[in-house]
Amino acid sequence: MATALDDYAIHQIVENMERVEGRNPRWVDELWFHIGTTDGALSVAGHMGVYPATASMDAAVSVAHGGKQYDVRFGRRVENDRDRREVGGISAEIVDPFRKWRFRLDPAEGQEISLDLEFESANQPMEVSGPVQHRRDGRQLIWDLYQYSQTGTANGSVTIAGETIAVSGGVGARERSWGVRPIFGQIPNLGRPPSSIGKRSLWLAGETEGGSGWLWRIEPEGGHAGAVGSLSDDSGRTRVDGALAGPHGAGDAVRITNAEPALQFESDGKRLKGGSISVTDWDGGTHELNLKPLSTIYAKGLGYGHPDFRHIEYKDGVAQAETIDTTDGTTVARLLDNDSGHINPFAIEHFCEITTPNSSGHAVVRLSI
Amino acid sequence: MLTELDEHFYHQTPSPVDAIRDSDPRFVDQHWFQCMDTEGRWIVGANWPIWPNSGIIENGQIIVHGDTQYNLRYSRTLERDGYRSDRIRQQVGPATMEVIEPLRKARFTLDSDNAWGISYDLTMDTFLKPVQTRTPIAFGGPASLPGVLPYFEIMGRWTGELKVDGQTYDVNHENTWGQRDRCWASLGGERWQGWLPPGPGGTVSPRGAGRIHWHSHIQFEDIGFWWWMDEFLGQPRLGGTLADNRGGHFDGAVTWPVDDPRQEIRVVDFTDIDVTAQPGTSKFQSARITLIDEYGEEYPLEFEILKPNATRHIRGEGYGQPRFLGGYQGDWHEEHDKYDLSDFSTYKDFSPQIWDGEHAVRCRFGDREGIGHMEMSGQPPLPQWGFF
Repeated sequence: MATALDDYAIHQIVENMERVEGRNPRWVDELWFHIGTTDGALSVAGHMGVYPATASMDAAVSVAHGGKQYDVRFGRRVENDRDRREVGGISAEIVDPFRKWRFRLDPAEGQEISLDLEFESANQPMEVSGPVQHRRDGRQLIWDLYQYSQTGTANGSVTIAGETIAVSGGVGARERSWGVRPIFGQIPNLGRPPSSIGKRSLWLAGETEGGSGWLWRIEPEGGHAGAVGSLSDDSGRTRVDGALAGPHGAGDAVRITNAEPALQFESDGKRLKGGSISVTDWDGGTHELNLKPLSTIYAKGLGYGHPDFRHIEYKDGVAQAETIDTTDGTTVARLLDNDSGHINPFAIEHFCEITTPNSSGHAVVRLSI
Repeated sequence: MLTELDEHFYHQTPSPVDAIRDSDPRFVDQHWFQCMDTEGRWIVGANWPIWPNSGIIENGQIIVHGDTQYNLRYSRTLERDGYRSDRIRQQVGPATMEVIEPLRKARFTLDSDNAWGISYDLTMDTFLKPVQTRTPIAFGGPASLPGVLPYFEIMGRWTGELKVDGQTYDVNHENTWGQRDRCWASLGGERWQGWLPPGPGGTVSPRGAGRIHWHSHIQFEDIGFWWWMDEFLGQPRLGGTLADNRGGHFDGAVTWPVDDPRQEIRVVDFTDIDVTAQPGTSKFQSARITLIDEYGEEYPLEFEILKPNATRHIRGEGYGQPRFLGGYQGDWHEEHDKYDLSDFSTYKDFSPQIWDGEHAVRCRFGDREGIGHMEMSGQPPLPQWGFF
């Protein structure tokens, strides 16, 4: 039936706007962001997703501060309002497309955190060169996702257990993606993931004085060679995509054609300790990035692989809040354990300081190993 | 390429909104309206098709004033301006349209800087709850590539002003009623005829000998009716759906004022149909029909054209034109013409079928009197009405 969105000439298929292409219940239209303070004392990450096929929407915020991670999550039913970006106490407002957004988590009883942050970007968005696609498991489409990322700065405040922390000049990244994704959804018994889909995922979006950069590298088990400058290859080769972008209106982004990481990890082999990434761009230029993690958010807090808050699944009225001691090794091991059994390339989010031979800045690195 | 639209949570495919993943060049997203002076002195209507895969936006304007139909047809390419998408910037030459409040209010304007010097600024406030076809319309064409068209319509009352032929008409909710509709489709537009083999009964709606097409929006103060009929009298027909184009099909709805708590009732059948032509012509004069809803309730309705030439003929908007509706004509194209509606001998050039056109009619339903729109045509033989 016609809804308000149908009154605009924005259709992509011959269906009402509340419907999407195909009948895949894992269809998602999602935003994510991660903002850190440059002293590493505070990191904030957020997620909001709408799942038109299950008439569901959810949102979550995680805050890392003082050896703890504070998580708040909400779910609601979608009733002809898929573009109303409000779920429980979380809202995401587009103030000026590609330039300014506002994210809020309202205070509530039983919830230790709230926030109000404005995120601004002086640089262009960086989009995938084509949809991330993967269907080589012989049964179903696993992955068919469009995505773009953007870096920027944040201002506002975060309140933790009654203490309000001003955020001034925080930096970070945001991402928008839509389509069918293999992860996060935990539709029961999704099926055996194909080995070709990859065993290691490295995602980075950062900004230095020279501009913005984004890359995503997915490696298969066994490390078959063959970076292709695209994420839509499902043969089992290593896949890399990315871009380097300048200010708004400054011309097209430059594509990244390869990214070779040399990373060091903590003893669990999953958390980043440091290292470097050598990036090759479309014009043959090379860029050496040195990474130093400043803070960490475990993405289960946002619902990515969470056993009791499964993205996509219908969960009208769900409201969850938890506080996690991230100095406890057992707790961290549990956060890193992929107990859902499903593919999750974004298990850990590190807010990092980055340096190149000519510049410095900050980046958000998302890892799954 | 990303645009501002991609910031929103309304994607339908894993591609940017501006990039239709289905590359069908027939994909169209369209606004359309018709507003009618309740005394029949004038009718204004326009279509606003956007063809994302061809990168084209078109606009066809028809202004009927007295016995003259003025036509304007424009086409331009879709262009990006930074992050702005042209899909939501409906401006073509001197014409604009804007959805002010979705499903509730829309504004249409025409600047006088056009070949006929006509101008208007017209805003429709929704009066009756929108109704949508229960199923997408399956248009004619081959089974390998049928046209598919979801479609909804909104009936309302208008405000604003029209200037035509040196006269100015004040437009208000009492003297101007009408409707607008929205459709988006993989549609067999005129540009694609000839690409495809002929389908059952024609290339758009089912066509053939003995066919009646009747598409109406009918408003009263407390109730409204919408229906779409392609009927071959005496032949089988699917009732309550338009999703089949092999023969007759019929869909409709009873609707209520926007704040009325009642839900729409689907109309699934009809009976007691009669149509009368103006003497010595095949021009529409009057009609009657009894609609039957899903509960079996009957609604006997009668219609009379407001004035003998209170009809728009949509060839003026580009329908049936060999170059309009989906055809690239350069970065900018415009053309105009007009029809003398008082000279029936010329109708064969722009309105060749029986009862052909979009009529403004006075309607009666019991004691109620209202205003409506009737898009109608007939193909002989229809011997019961004297057309052999």
